[in-house]
Amino acid sequence: MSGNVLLEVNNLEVSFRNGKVDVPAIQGISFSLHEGEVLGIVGESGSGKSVSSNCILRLLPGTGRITNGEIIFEGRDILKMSKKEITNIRGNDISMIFQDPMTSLDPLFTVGQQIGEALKKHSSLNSIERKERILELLNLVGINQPEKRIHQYAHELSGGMRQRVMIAMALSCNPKLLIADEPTTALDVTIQAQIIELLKELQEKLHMSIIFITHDLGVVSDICDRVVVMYAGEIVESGSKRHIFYQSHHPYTEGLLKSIPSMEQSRSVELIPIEGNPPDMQLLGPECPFAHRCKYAMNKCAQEKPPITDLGDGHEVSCWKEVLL
Amino acid sequence: MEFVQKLLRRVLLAVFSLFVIVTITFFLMNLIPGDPFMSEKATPEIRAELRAKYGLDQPIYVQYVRYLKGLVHGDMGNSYILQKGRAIASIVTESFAVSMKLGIRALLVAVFLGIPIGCIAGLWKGKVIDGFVRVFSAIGISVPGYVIAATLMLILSVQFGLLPISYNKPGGSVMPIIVLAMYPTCYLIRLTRASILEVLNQDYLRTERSKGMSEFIVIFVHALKNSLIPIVTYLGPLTASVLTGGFVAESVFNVPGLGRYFVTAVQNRDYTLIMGTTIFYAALIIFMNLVCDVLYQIVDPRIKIN
Repeated sequence: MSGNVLLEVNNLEVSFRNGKVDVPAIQGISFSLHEGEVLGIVGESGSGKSVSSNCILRLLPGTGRITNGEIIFEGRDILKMSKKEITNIRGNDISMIFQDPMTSLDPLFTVGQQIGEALKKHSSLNSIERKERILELLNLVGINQPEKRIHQYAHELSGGMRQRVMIAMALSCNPKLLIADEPTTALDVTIQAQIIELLKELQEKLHMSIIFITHDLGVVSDICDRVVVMYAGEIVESGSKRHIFYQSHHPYTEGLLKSIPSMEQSRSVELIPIEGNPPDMQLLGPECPFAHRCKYAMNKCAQEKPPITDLGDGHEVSCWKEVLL
Repeated sequence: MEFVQKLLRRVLLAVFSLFVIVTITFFLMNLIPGDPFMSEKATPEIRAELRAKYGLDQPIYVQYVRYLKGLVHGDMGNSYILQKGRAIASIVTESFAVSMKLGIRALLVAVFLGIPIGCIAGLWKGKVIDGFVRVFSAIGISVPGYVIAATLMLILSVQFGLLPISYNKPGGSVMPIIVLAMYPTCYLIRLTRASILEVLNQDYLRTERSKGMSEFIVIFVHALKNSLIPIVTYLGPLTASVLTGGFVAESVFNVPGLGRYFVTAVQNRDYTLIMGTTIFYAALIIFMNLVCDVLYQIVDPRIKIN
């Protein structure tokens, strides 16, 4: 499954300018991704999972700034690349699909035109070959009547179909890495399942790596090999799917798992939410950001951030519980 | 085929709108005190005779029906006062030609200045240039045309003698064009700026960037095309109003265009000319809106005429 390291994020820090203050969004995260691996990044809204993935293509919105760290893709630091170099990577080696397929396609261009743009930029295909390739891609992502769809506009397609078009667009130049930023969140449940299934199939067929960002652990269990759990701009736990689902060590991961509804549970078993709210990123102190919500919190937790503890076999957690107990 | 059918329906609807406008104008016009011959230096008997000659002594509905009959046959009557006896159609076509010559130039100025400047302001939002453009366009929109006209005359003609006041002299069309173009230019600037700012936040531009599209393509192909939609809406009525000439610009600079006739016709109660200019103006606006709707469909595939 895992070949060479494809992507390595080291000590990445991102902050957003809010008026005159810089609000941290990512506080020094590091993770790596192997060829052919599917990595899930999970966390609540505002935990920094989308921001960290947008950094990989340098697509930070508005006032966001990368203040520290490096993102090594195939041996080169993406953050040091020129504009031209990064545009050659976008949509070619690394491509991305987004949360809301309803707004992510340009309403004034046909499906074919929008997929064709990327092909025109990154490949040497002529217009006839491009059309063939687009039809092939639409077939690949399970869109029926591709001959007709190629000339349609986004508003003529359903939500699920639009996300399939987005996927076709992302795959058009055979990327080595696909970043999927909550690709199913805006879709209804049956369509969600279809899209996940499609991504799984495509991953196996094309052997690409995927970073899958979601707040839904159910989705993660379905598709990911490894999982990174983020909280307040930091990675609190990371490990294989098995580590996270059966041997989780961080109280936050535990809380997330307990709040998933299950088909097997009887209806009388209540879901256990994680009490409290994530911290205000402007008011972060030296303490563990989860301490005020944590039922295991100790004095130490309110004084200092916990270091990362290596539990072996690629399982890492940052919690005082692991260090002190 | 469906398109032609729908278009046909729109045309029929336009004819109906025109009929309503004709009716309202006709009756409103007759509500204005006085008549075409009130300023003639003549005895009351002669005036009564004149009214009888033109059928103005008959009940208003009779006059209305007679006017409609003429209109259906393409006869808009003759002018009572301003160019006595001359056919309205010929006055309108002649004066419209003058207005259009000015109007097209003003329109080109508005479009080729307004849209690019609006884009620049939008793309450099919050920068010095944006602030400058916003102040300038706010002034251009809120200062009335006659103030601009008078100020221009004072500065450019009286003070520095750069341009002639009269329209007939060489260079005489420059100031009327500036006055005509001022409001639409500033309005287009603000419209384009607002529109492009809204589009710049759209998700599909992020998608374009994620595909590796250059910033040039993202902005000038995708953002600009999307932000043109509200602009197209405005261009229809704008074209109609600029082509028919500004009432103010033509009156102040003494341009023998449609706009000036519009004003003087009302002042002189030249009934047939009031009707003629109003009908022409209304028809042009309706037609331009129709053109706009068709254009709309070309720009935006989501819109279908119905």
